[in-house]
Amino acid sequence: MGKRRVNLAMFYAALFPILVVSVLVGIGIGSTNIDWRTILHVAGLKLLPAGWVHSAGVTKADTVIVWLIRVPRVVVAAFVGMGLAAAGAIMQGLFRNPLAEPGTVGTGSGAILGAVIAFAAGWSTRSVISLPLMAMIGAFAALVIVYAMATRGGVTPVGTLLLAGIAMMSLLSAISSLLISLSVLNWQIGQEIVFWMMGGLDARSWTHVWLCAPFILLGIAAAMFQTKDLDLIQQGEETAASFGVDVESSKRYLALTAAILTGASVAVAGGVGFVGLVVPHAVRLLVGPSNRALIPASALTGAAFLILCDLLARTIHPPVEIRLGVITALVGGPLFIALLLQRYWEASDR
Amino acid sequence: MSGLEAAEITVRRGKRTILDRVSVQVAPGEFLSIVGPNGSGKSSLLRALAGLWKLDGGSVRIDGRNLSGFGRRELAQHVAFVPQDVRMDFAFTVEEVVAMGRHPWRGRFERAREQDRRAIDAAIASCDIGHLRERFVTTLSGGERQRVAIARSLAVEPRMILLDEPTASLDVQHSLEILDLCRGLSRAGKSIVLATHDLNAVARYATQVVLLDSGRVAYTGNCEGVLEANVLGRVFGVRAERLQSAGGHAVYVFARGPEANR
Amino acid sequence: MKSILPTLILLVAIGAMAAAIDRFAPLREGNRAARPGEGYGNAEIRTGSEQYPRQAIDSDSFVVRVARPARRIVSQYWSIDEYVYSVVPPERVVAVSQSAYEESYSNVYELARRYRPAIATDPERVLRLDPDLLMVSDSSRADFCAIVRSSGVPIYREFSMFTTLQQIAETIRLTGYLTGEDASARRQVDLFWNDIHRAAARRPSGVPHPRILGFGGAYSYGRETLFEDIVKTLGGVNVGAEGGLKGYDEVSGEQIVRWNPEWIVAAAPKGKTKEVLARLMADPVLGATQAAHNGRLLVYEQHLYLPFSPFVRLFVTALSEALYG
Repeated sequence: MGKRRVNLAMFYAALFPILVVSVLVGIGIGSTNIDWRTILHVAGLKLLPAGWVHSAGVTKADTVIVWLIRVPRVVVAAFVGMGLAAAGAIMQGLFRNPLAEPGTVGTGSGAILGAVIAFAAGWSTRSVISLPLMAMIGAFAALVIVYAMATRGGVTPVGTLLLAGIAMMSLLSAISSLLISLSVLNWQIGQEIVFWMMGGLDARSWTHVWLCAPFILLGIAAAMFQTKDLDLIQQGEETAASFGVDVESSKRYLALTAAILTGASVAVAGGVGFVGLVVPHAVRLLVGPSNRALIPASALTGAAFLILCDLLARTIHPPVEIRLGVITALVGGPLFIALLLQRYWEASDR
Repeated sequence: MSGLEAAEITVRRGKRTILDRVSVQVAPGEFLSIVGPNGSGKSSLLRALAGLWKLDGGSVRIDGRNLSGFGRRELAQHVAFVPQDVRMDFAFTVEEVVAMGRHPWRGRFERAREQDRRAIDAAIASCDIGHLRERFVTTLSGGERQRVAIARSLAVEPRMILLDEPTASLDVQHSLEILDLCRGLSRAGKSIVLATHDLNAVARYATQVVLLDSGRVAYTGNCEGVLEANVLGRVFGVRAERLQSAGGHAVYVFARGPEANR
Repeated sequence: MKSILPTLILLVAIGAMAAAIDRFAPLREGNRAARPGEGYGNAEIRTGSEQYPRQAIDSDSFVVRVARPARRIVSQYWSIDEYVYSVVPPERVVAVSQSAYEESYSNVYELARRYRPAIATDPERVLRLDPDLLMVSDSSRADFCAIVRSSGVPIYREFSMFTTLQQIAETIRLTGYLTGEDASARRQVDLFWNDIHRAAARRPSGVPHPRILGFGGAYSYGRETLFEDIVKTLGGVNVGAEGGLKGYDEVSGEQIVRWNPEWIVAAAPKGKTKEVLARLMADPVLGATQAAHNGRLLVYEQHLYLPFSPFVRLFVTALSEALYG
């Protein structure tokens, strides 16, 4: 095959307009109609120094709706998309398989269980930060267990990895269900848990931005420190070691990074799948597997992808909002199948 | 002593002793070949020499300095290891893969320097993969990938290169090319350690041979001494007949054990 | 040690970031109420003086400030719909919960149909209505409340699991306080207690306490429920509580047979009371009780059966009429 790669500059030249348009459309469309001029007016009021824009012509409701409801939602969607796509890129490198994703190897379920525990134990009421922290811990623990289960003698066969991941997901789902059924009398908690498991961005506020954005940015920055090591690890762990990479340390560090990204994303958006699988894979086909380019490119693509998926979730069947996890599965699923088929054809071509 | 020296190294995995007090010396410019039956510890010895495995006994030194005293990166600058199983699941270009060989010399965020480019170019030329430079490694044949892997190790510009069955998936022409390349490198002053099944290649190219049998050194010395019919017969359980080629090289023909038919 | 360093540094960075966010970022979502599971229905209603600006403490322990009498009221819970319509002029209710439009369940269905308030669902729609007071239940979504709070509209989270008639009366008063319709609320409270007392007075003296079971399929009402309070007020005995149930709890057919209640009260969808009655009479478990034998199976339409609102006085009245004639 030997398809040509897309020049990185051209890739971004195409991506940025898409991202900007997604953001604008995401803010422009909601469950009520707001004129785009009003939206710009509100944005001006909030972003520019005081006094540059006068506040006449904009009602309090408009300001609240645009600035407190729509903008944070789009911002959260962007960060979660970034986090999941970057985590997916790291996973695919760590496991040397272009079809790994945060969900396959259990980090998503682990993060959900962590969040569920934070709810059920009541920690989330005492300290709001406990939610993303527990989600991160859950993601890391799940990843470590799955990886340990699947690794023998330094080799991690993909088949075993996937099986271990599936086993972990089933186990974690069972535990989450157990916690739900135990707290079924507490209807509110049961509802919150189900929300996490299906994924969604309804009623996300600036609080949620604060909960996820710093960690996602930290995760991506941390990942960028180890792109070269990750590239080498993708060539084989022994090979990487022979080129001076501290493989165990790198794996630990990268696993932790993936857990931060997944945990923070799940903490504010619940279980959203396929983003971490499809986006890095597709971006890799365009810009190549070098992680220095791949991780930022995947992150930004993931942001646009999730903003658009969220938009779909809101507009397909108004006023009902379809769960975000359902949309990403409906969009990502066929894409995943297409990618699988492409790999199959590529392999049989050779 | 200059070069690579392994003294009484022992490696155990659980109850099994994989290497038992093995001693090996590789001087600069030496072309050492490690041979032995399956499971005799060839790959293990290579990895131990490369510093990839922890030793349960003995030591490995470079120029008198114990390997454990080297930092990871520093060691990688001196010793390159080419594994047998070359996994290339990701569509890097050949150039990018070879460029990874410069990893031990570069800081985390350093740009490629002139010497990096030179080393990469030299490595690519040596392995005759210049025409594959822009190709994706996932589209290469097994043999081509092997050469890319070797080029990657060459790009390190190491003093020692350890190769694990480099010719296993190569055709005759490319096998010989690689072996010629290794010989060239050893004559340029590098130490080459090569584990292989191909006894005829060993006979032609190696300056020193180590014959392993169940983790122990059964014989060490030059080709003439080691590749002697009785020794081979005992260790491999085959009948070896040594012939002379027209060019004066030793050629070995093997048949099954003494009780087998001719 | 060196190999664990990068991971350690990252862990420390996470911890530091979490601590910083916790300390500096605006993360206050507020305290949550004690969970309904514990102390079923704690309705300690705390209101301030009658002078404007008024303030009240809601179930989230938030101090809710109301600057003036409310003209555009949003209710987001089925029972609150009924409180609000009982107390305020109906044109001031701009949004209600979905249940108000359900004929089978709602006691304010007619009012909803006539005045056509919006259905209060997502924050955007609600805020578009430009409300000046929101009344929601303590089980409503925290993020929804947070958004409304940050928009400056007063939002009051009410306890919704009532266990005594007193709490309902208190909530009527609270509704009046929050909306500025204190006089109307007082009238409703008087009406409420008049009906209750009249119903209780129906009981002839010297008559034994009727043993009543509230039937909800596999569930019944034990101690600390509104049903219990009503039955006690009417001079009866709540068989569920007598049998050791607490709250809205599971009950088995066996237990019902063993308890053998004299009266059984159940609910039915609108227009289906006769059918449900026939079905219950034919039920092997219920049919074995003396209530069934003596024709003392009472079936009420859903909206009338134990509403958690001022309309419960209608239920109490109906029940007392059935018990005592």
